[in-house]
Amino acid sequence: MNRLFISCCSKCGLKLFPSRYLCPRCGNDSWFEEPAEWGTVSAMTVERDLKGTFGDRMLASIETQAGPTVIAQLEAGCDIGQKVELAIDTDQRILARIPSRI
Amino acid sequence: MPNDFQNVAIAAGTEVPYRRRPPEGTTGDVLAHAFQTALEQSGFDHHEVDGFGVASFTLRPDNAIDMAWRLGISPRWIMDDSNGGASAINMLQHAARAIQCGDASVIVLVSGDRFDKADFKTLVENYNLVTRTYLRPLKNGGPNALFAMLTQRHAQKFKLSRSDYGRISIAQRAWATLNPGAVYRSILSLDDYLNAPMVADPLCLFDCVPVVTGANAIVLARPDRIPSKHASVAIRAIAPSYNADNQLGDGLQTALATLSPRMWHEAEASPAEMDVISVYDDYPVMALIQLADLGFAEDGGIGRLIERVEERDLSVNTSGGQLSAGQAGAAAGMHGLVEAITQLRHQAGERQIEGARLAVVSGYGMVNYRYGMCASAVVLEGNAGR
Repeated sequence: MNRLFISCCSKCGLKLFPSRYLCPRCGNDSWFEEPAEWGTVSAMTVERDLKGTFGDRMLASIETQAGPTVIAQLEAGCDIGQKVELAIDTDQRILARIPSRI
Repeated sequence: MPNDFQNVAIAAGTEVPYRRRPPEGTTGDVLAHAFQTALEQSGFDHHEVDGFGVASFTLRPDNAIDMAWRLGISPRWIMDDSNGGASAINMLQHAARAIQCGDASVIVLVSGDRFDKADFKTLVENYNLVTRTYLRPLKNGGPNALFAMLTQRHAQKFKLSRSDYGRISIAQRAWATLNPGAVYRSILSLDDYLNAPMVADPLCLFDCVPVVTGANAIVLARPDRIPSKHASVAIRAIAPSYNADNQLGDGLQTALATLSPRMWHEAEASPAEMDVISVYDDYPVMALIQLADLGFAEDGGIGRLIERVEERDLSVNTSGGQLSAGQAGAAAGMHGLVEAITQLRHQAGERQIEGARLAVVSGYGMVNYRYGMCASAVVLEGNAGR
């Protein structure tokens, strides 16, 4: 499991995910990476497995704390606005986890 | 040069019957069938065709040139288009300019796909690099989940319920009962809709287009090549847009919201004058968004817009739309265009809008990560009533 990064334009600061060649705002081509470690659920859905092969999959749009929205696999159902932790695995799958309440 | 579309007309628009189960054969076979039916409707001889364009996801490894060879035509203008739901209007724009500029005089544009289950899975998993990299690993199974979340945000913003989106599917199905070419033609009730299996909440089976094998074709020509008694269709204005918002928005509006005032001005027409409306309906929410962007929700908002669609005060997606007629891959953007041409040529049979003269058609598509990158519209005028 790895940290998720988004791209930040080194000239104007526009933050994007997925990354681009040129910044749509200023045309600059150099970027630095900024971690997107958490975010809030802005929409979620259950992709139903109508054929019964993979099981239902829970997906969410997450507005990252860095700014851009990412699409992630959600570990459990939750409310819109829920704060989640983000990570990305070696298959490039973005995962959203509800922080455990200690 | 003024931004007009004089000296070009659409002489034909046809659809190869859509099928849920792919018939034997190849994508090329289906496209060839569409080519022949359109040519026949236009009245042109096949040796008169000097321009040819193709949009298809599954034609590969063949391209337009291979189809030209198979069809025995020798065009001097050729085009391969890869813009999915926006391909038809894109090809239309390029073909119209080619005819205006004298690069060709009779152009046939075809679009369509033959899908079996494996073909469709390959397409949606590898739709583009972003999809293959970040969506395929989620096993999201295509765009349904993305438009489920878009519908959820739209519903929240406009205070709509599941039934409100269902009313679009139901209204379009009612049109489909009058279209022998639609794959689903039985009346849909609100109970049927609300009790249907969920696909990706809040979307149920009737919110998602049935994938079909099929093709569409249109023929454009210089008006002086078309016999005066042949019903043809003129282009009043075209509004295309590609990557308008760099995917920095929320997808609840397309570029048509910005472009449509200028389009209506160039068309010298208004939304209220439209006899026929074809909007790209991969999901009911997108039909509503494009209708609003084109200016059909200005009196009374989305709630009143839905009522006007139900009451047929607005004749929207009179074929039943893709939701009932089916989505034949890259033909999706041409389906609504062909329906508008059919209506304006007064050839729509039982579903014919009496005296139809003006139509607006929109295309939408090429989903990047969260929503479509392309949106286009065209205003058309038929001469059948004259």
